[in-house]
Amino acid sequence: MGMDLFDQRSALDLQRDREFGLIFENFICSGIWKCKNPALTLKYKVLCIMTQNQYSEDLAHIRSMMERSSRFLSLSGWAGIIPGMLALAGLAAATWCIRQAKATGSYDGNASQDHPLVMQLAAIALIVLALSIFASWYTCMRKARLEKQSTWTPAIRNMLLHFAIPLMAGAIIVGWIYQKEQWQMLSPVLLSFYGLALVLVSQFTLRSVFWLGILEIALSIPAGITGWDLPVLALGFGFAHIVYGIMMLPLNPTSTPLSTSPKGD
Amino acid sequence: MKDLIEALDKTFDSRIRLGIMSALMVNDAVEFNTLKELLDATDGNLASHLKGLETAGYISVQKSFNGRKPMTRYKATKQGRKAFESHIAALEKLIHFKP
Repeated sequence: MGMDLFDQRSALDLQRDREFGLIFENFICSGIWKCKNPALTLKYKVLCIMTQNQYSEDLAHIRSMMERSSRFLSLSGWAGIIPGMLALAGLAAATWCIRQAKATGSYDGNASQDHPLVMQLAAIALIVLALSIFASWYTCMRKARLEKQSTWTPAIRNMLLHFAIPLMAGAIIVGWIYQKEQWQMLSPVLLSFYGLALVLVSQFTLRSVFWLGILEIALSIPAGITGWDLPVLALGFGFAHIVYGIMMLPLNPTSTPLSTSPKGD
Repeated sequence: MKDLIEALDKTFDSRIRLGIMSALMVNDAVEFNTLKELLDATDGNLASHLKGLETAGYISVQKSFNGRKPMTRYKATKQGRKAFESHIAALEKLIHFKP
């Protein structure tokens, strides 16, 4: 088992560190390194560098434990790419529905709450949302399992909670938009609240999510212009996710190279 | 450099103890099982290190019941946070020491 290895390694290391510390202390106390013998000075330098390596590994271990215990780092690139593609497919379907409704003359730019077009678009949006959540969750959990990280930690619970709060606030506003039939507000509200959720959740996962959130919030400015909402939604929910996901793919976001490799080599 | 090494806290003389303190520094409280998974340690080993930190007064222990399951949560004390911060500062000084 991995844990036994860890114990043995740290026990061995401790023993070695103690022996080493003893040699080191003798060395310093003797004051031998102050003499001008170049061989001895070199030995002292090597000793220093060896201890320093060990202490910088300690620091790296501390840093990685702080990260791993407070952030969910197994964010998969596919968790961006798949929802991005689903969003594009959903928007294409929505465009088709709107065009059909215009062609049959049932829609002229104003729709009431119970208009069949509103129902269709809402159904598309909910299906895309459900599939996206499922795809992101599945790919992230798969990545976490592959990296031998646990899949249900306080860090993940924190992340989900802080992701859900701005989205719930957004859902309340969307409810009022539906009630008052203020459809032109829909895209800016969706983008800015989703952006806020990303900015907040970046505290509990990869830091780069912060910039994706800022981008979504910025996109809510052009989203308010009449006729621009569908292209901007495609940009914000579709292409931004796909590009971000592709950027995440080759990277290995777990910053734990030192804690898992045997130290001292 | 000798006094720099002496500035290190001997209580943190193990990777597991460093890991425990790191997790407790960035979280309010951490459960025993979470620590176990995080550090990939055995029950006995983790418990003995936790005991060591507790005796030093660096962490506090809260025992409670979650339904019927006993739950042990650990917190870093003020003293522990201070000690760990100065330990990190000493490590950083050691790394930047030029012979």
